[in-house]
Amino acid sequence: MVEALGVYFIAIRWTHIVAGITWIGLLYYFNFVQVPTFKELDASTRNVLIPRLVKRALFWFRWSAVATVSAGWLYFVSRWATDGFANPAALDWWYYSILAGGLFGTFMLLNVWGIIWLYQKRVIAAVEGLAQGKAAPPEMALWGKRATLASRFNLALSFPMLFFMAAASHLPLF
Amino acid sequence: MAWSFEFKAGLGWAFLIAVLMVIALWAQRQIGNLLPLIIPILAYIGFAAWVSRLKK
Repeated sequence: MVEALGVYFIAIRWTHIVAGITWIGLLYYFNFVQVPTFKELDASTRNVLIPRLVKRALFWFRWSAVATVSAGWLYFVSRWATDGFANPAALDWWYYSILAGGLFGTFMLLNVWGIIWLYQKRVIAAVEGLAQGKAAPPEMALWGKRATLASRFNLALSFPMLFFMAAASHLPLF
Repeated sequence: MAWSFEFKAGLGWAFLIAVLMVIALWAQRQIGNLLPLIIPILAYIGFAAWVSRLKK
C-alpha cells in the first residue's frame, strides 16, 4: 500500500525532474544552438527573432528554474524533517551531496533572474524599441555580454550540479 | 562554441566554485557542521559582483 508521505515525495521529485529537464534543456539550447546560430544571422533577422523566439524561450527558462529549485528545496527540507532535523554531524552522504548540487542549482537560479533575465529583458525592450523607430541604447552590447557570461557560468556549473544530484543516490561515499 | 572571453570567464568561475564546494564538503565532514558551505557561497557572491561591475 502506498503511503501518503510516499505520494508527497514522489510528486515533489517528479515536479523537480520535469521542471529541471525543461530548465537545463533550454540552457543547453541557448548555449549550444541559439548563441552560435545568432552569430551567423544578420541584425535584422536577429531583431525579428529576439522579441518572439528568445522572449518565449526565456519565459519557460526562468519559470522552470524557479519550479526546479523550489521543488528541490521543498524535497530537501521535507526529508530532513522526516529525519527529525538531525544534527549535520549525523547526516549521511545523501544530504551532503544533494546540498552541494542544490547550492549549485541555487547559484544558477540567482544567475537566471539576477543577471541573465535582468539584462535580456533590457535587450528585448531595446529591440522592440528599434521596431518603433527608437535608437539602440549604447549599453546594449554590455548587457548581452553580462547575460552571456552568466549563461556560460551556468552551462559549466550544470555539470558538477548534475554530478552531485546523481551521486547523492548512486555514489554513496559514506 | 567559440573560446570567447565569456566562455573562459564563465568556465573559470564555475570551476573555482566547484572546487571550493568539494573542499567545503570535506571540511563539513571533518568539523561536523554545515558552516564551510559559506566558502562557495561567498565565491558566488564574488562572481555576481564581478559580472555586475564589468564596464565593457
